[in-house]
Amino acid sequence: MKDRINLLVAGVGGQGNVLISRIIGRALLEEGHAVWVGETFGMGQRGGPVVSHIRVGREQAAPQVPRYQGDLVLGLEPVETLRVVSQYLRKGGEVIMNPRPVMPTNVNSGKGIYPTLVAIREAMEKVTPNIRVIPGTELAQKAGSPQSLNMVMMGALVASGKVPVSAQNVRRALEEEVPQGTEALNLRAFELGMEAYRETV
Amino acid sequence: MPQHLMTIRAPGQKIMMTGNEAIARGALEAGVEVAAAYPGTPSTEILENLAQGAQEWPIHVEWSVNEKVAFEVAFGASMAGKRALVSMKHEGLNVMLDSLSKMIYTGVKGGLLLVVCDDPHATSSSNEQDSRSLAQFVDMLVFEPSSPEEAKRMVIEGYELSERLRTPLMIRSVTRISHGKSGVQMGPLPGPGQVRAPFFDRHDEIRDRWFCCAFNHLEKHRAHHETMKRVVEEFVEVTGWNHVENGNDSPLGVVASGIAYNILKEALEALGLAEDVSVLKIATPYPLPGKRVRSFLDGKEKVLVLEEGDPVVEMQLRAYAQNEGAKATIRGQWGGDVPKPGELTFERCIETIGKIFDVPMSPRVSDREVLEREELLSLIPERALTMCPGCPHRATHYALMQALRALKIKKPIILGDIGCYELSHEPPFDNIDSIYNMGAGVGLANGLAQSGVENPVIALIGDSTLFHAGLPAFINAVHNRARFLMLVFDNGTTAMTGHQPPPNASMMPSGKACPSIPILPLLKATGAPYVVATSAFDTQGTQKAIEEGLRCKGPAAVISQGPCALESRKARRKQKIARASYSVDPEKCTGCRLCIDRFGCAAFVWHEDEKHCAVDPILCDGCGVCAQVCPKEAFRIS
Repeated sequence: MKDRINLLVAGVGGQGNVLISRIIGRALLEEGHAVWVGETFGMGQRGGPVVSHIRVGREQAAPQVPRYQGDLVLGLEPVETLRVVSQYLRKGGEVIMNPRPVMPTNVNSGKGIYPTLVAIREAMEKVTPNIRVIPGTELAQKAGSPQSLNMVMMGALVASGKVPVSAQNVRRALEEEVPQGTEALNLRAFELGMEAYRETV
Repeated sequence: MPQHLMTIRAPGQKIMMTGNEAIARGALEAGVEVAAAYPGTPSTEILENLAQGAQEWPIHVEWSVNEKVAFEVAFGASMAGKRALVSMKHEGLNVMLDSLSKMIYTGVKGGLLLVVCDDPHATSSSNEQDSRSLAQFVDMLVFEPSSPEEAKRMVIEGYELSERLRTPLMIRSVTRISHGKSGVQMGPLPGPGQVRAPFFDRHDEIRDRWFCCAFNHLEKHRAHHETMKRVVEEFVEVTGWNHVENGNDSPLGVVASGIAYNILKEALEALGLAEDVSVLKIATPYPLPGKRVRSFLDGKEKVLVLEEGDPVVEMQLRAYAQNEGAKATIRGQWGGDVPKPGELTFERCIETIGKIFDVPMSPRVSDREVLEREELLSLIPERALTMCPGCPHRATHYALMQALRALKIKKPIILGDIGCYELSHEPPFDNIDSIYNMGAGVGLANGLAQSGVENPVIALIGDSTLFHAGLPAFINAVHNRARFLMLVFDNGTTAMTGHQPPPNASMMPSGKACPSIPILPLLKATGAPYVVATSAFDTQGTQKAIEEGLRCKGPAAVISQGPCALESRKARRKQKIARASYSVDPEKCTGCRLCIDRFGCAAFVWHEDEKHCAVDPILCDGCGVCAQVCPKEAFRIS
């Protein structure tokens, strides 16, 4: 495994990017890695795009992943995944994506068109052939709540082996970070995501 | 369940923290006893985290009405010998500058830190501003961290320094530090018994210690500059925070401050220059350590200055270089080498270094591929920020537009302000003519009303913003007979920054109860001829009140009230109350699009093929305003 890894999590405000980077960051630190996590949010709470930049193996790092140097994009929403893939992913990097769109209001008011999943996939294939689709929202509902989507996708990320952390440490960090009473639900979601990734291999 | 970062007792342990968390933790470890702030991105979480400390030991943490008052609260506590903190976003520094520019002359007693979080690129702000320039303006020491860990250590050291030299100092953060996260080492926390006894002395070692007026201000001004001389001699020149890396032998040098240092390290490595360029890391961008700067410049041919914001370090460096007759050419933002405006990104940094030190960069991606990738972006529909489903502001904007239609007002002048209600500048409302800064809309409404324009003038303002800076402007309107309507969006919280309680809420940041100040009697007391409160979710009632307000000859105020949808959702979850949800009866929906074009709830989904509207059941908040909007009664509770 390469000692320096750049991960990006792409989503929309409310989908829970920040919790993913918090848990992964914590697990990485506990395993002795230098980590720098940067977040672009602010007004993300009002439905705007949110991107988390997780930089592993650097003490002194630029706070955001340099252009075209991302090793992996974890996408919670299709067009947001495409946005980050096109801006940050290195050629041939990996994409793990939830296929359920969160419609921008502009699309409803007729001011924009949401591309088809096929078009999104074709666009991303210009950057990389390594694209895995994980039915995150579906699995989150199966786990007990659509809001556990982030933990499903985090499960897929850990199963990919691209982050130098053990699943056991991530589980432990998860239990420490999620709100009290939701541990079992979120762990269930995490396991479903791990399994789903393995099935894609 | 997270054990809270602020109260965990684990000395020596390294924990992931944001810069804001690290700053709050540092202040708690240093024994801060009074903290005050007004919320503003990216600074808000500092006070929110300090409030966790207030739950465990007897310290005072408050959301103040605005930054000027917050600073005065902190300064007052310092006069009584307490360690105090005030935090704000860059725009807040402008609000408190009047007080700071006087109080800096007398200095402090208890250590006092101003934490100012700048927002380069203005991701969540109305302007880009470098607060270090204002520290220079009042001659105040600035500490600039390059990581959360540094931020925490600077806070702790800052308190000792502030107290020893009796001067306040600034910690300057930026979004990437405040919202960035990395490992931070925990130190010991004070116990509940370690509080200082407050003590006030008018003459505290110096006669009239706390006076700064005509009879003594020259003396105080002189004393302040004497203090700053000591700050330089006893701290800035000797501290290890400012230091040279890679030896000082290279003819090429870079001076970097704060986050720019981290970006520089990665850029030098990427360019293969990690060992070839001397680096002067600056942690006190104002004032600079002059002696160290001079020795750094000695023998250099080219020196590049990298910093986030304005050329604050660069201009001081240029002054030293000129004074010393240094041979080095100084490059940086002032010389046009670093592009502005916007953030100092890795890409900007590496390009500048490559150009100035003549290091050819091998591009990672060909120009053709860059173009190809940019083309991919054209597939993506714009994701505009929007008011949430169930938002009372959307209902109020609907009522406002209906009132304008009923009165046949074609060209109103609508002045916006800072808060979620400003999101109506997007369709379907698209109804805001100006936005500047906190409270400015009401002030501008005064002037537009007095200008004699025939268009009706309407100022929009939120509850928290009204308390912050809108009230004086409304009082001014009554006193000077300015005719306009002030529409108050009262959702009982400071929503945009994440629900901090304003003065009309009855909660301290620690969760403890406190008195609330209702807006209606406050505005009525001004004697304005028309002041009413309505329920935002009763759109007809609000519409009628707005119409009445627009007919009124003097300044009028309509307070449209309704709780923030996100807060109601939280309350429902706590009380385990099920949420109502609306759906559309496709038999009744005629596809007229009135609901979408005039109200535009974020939970609506338009089905182009069948030409009817639907409601996303996951997003619907059950506020029921859609049922008031639809003339065909197609929306029903499901």
